[in-house]
Amino acid sequence: MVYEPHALFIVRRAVNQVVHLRGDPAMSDALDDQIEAYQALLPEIRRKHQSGWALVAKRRFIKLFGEFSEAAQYAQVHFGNEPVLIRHTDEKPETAPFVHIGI
Amino acid sequence: MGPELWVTGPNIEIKLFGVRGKPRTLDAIIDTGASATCLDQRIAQELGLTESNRKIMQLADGSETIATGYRAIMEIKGLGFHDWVEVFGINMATPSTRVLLGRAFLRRYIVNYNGPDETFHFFNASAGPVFNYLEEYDG
Repeated sequence: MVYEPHALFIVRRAVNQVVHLRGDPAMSDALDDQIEAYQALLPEIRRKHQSGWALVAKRRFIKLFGEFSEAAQYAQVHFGNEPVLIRHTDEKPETAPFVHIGI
Repeated sequence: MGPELWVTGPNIEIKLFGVRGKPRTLDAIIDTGASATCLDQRIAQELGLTESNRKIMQLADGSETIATGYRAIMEIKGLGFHDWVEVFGINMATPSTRVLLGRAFLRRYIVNYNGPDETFHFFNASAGPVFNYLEEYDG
């Protein structure tokens, strides 16, 4: 627990590096807000709902979906291009066998 | 296992688009080693895809990178597939128009690989007709 703020700082800094590479800071800051809200809401989402794709918008938990496509469709209809977070509550580490990357 | 839907080699043609940009036809590779569907970040930006996630992704060499998740509509003619999917944009050293079709996409199907032919056989993952042999035998 002592190291948590430092770990958060490292992640933030890494994320910011990516953001600068992409040159779209406003959009990513807004996504960061949703991710931050999601982390805070996750224990409650897990307690009240089964696992699934959580949609977080305007820093609020909106709904849990069985499929990513349902969450994406819902987000498009109700939030348009507003930054929202769609993340599975049972998130597992992702692997992508790309080797040559630019970072 | 449902009926066979499609037989293809590892390289397939897909169409990818968001609501803000024009559809683009891209080369995709079926990659069971990738957990997610991934592409060059430049392509995601070019297509105007909307961000909807960000996570750490582990690469084949064990290194890690932060990837941005986007929501996109993907179309694969041979499969009759047209739906929203999550794709991850990765900062590649050199521009690439290739898309890795990972397990997040493949989980919709039962896919058999024919080694000698180098072909993938796609079957519907939903159960096909169930025959009750005991009832049919009936004595």
